[in-house]
Amino acid sequence: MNMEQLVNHVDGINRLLARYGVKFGIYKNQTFHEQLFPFDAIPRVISKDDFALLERGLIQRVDALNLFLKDVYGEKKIIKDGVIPEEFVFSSSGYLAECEGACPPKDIYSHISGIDLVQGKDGNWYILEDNLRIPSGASYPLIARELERRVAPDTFRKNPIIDNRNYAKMLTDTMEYVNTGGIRVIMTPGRYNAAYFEHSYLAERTGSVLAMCSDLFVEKNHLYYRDYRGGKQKVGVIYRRISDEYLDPMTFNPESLIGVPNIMDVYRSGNVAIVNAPGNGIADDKGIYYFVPKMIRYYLDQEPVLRNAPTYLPYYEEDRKYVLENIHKLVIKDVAEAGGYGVIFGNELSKEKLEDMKELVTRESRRFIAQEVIDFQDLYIVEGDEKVARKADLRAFVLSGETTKVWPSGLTRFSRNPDSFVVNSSQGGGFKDTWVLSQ
Amino acid sequence: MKSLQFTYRMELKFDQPVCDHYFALRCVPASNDVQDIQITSRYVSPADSLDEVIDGFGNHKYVGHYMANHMKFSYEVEGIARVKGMQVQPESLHPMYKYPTRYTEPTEELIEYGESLTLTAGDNLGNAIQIMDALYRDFKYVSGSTDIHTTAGEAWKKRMGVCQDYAHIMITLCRMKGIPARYVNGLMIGEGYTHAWVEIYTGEGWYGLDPTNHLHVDDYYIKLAHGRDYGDCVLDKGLFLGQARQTQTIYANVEEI
Repeated sequence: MNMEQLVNHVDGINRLLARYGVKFGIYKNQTFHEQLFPFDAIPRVISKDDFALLERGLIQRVDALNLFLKDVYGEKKIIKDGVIPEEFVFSSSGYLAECEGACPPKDIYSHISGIDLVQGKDGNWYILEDNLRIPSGASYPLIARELERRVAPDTFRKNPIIDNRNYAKMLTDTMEYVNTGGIRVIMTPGRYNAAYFEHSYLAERTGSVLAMCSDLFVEKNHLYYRDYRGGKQKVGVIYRRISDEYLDPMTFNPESLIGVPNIMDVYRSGNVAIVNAPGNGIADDKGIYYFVPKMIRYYLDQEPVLRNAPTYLPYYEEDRKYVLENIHKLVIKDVAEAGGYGVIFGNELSKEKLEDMKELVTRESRRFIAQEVIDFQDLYIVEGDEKVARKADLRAFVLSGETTKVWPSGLTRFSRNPDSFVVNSSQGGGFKDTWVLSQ
Repeated sequence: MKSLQFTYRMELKFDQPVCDHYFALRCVPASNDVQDIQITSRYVSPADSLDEVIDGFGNHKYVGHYMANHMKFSYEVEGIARVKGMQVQPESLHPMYKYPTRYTEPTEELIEYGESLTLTAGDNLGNAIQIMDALYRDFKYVSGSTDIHTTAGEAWKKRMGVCQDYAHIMITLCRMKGIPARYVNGLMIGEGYTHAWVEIYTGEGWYGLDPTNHLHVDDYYIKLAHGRDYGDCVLDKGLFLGQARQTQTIYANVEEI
């Protein structure tokens, strides 16, 4: 494929992205910085066969995760049957007791799942983590594609690249499927939020109302939107872009100045669908990750199509022994941290630090998981005038409505730093479009 | 079994008007295996809307909203409770009552104290009573010595507190010793305030113990709400717009009829 046209226009595309406000917010040393999310013109290309495999694996995984969430907040069979030790669920900060017994419309908890994968040098795809709370990023490849098509229309005419602009339709269908009878709302904390571009863009594309928290209110156990004339409209489905803890100051963090008071009761009563459901944090907990392949076998009676990165739970004695012996070559992750934080590479630690780490892992075995470092395929990026190879991952978006579907695109993030394995956008870095081929 | 007449009233006065007032109340007792509740009168004022819902812990909750300016907010519930005390309330165990929470995180001192207690009863209830006995000996009731934010660990450091602290410390120790335990808010015979105590899981169901008074929960107690700790069963929560200072008056009365 000829990428020259695209590469030549990359500065123009980045300028436009900046004007649209395509940004990312990061926390560093307790302060909040916003930065542009640089676009690299060389796309990640996924073959038809590879995508078919990813599709099967991702649908299977997300279906199992949805069944797990329903089970955890309902019957708890997987715990009673001893597949997952109960303390991994009930002592996790991701488990929200306030969601016990709530039945989200159509039993869907994770409507929009962002599953992070990498492709190893062996060609295999590995799941790095599941994001089932409010995974962001779909808008970046979406708008990038629009600009790409403008600057290099030929490329898209001549090559069998699946159009990814159906994301809006997929999202609309997903929201409509759980709609309890009212308008569709995308709730944003506001224009100072780093992802505000995404919120407004998705609202525009899906024909949903973009609402601030203060535009929404609860009355007679239903959720309403106050429109510009002061009238009220019933909300049937809300795609909220604030985290659980800020969602309802009457149920969760009382200090929250955003959020909608008593919305949890509306949700618990089945009078509104919340996308994604509150309480999902229990399923994308790093400790629970280890058990996802077991979930697939347990709920679906299938073998997992996609594999996890080889993971050890120091909680189990056998795994702990392995971790302590091999800590120098493993990645240690703190299960309570997210966004690339709390990730420690054993090979970067001094002898002394390694000993400290061993002690910590032994003492707080429930707090950590350990993983083999996957030697994953680099992707080329343009740096100045040359092409250089960098680490990159893929966030695939899986939407669960009437059926579960994988968006034929995705967010490819890369690390600018040649030595870094962490490609989370919270840690800087840039993104690429992801092209899925139809033949 | 006793028949109790109860009244619970709360009045909030603001020194300036407030508006857009959301509230969530867990002050209405519900019937269960040990208490049969008949509500004779109930009001929340002012309120544009009022709904009864069930929270994640199984408590009845009244939620609502009032939009216009107001200087006062009050509610009252009155009723008759027929209570069977000192009985196990059969229920399957939810595992969430086995693990520490924000208020019941064991501190080093509490762990040390827990380890110093040798429980010999051989069953959950007997062992929990031994923990209650120990607390009666080693912890002191001092009104006003702690506040609603005080955790079990903080209260234990001072060795003094109020009913909320007794309950939190006992819950922490019970869970450390493998006895599932939960926090209960409610009313007790007499006039005054609401009270807090503990329910422990016997293996078949929940049984109430009142560590503050060193008593089994008998037919002079009415339960309003339960949860993992105080934070799960706050009796009333409100959120409003305005910069007013507020004064809260609570009246609670339970008498035998």
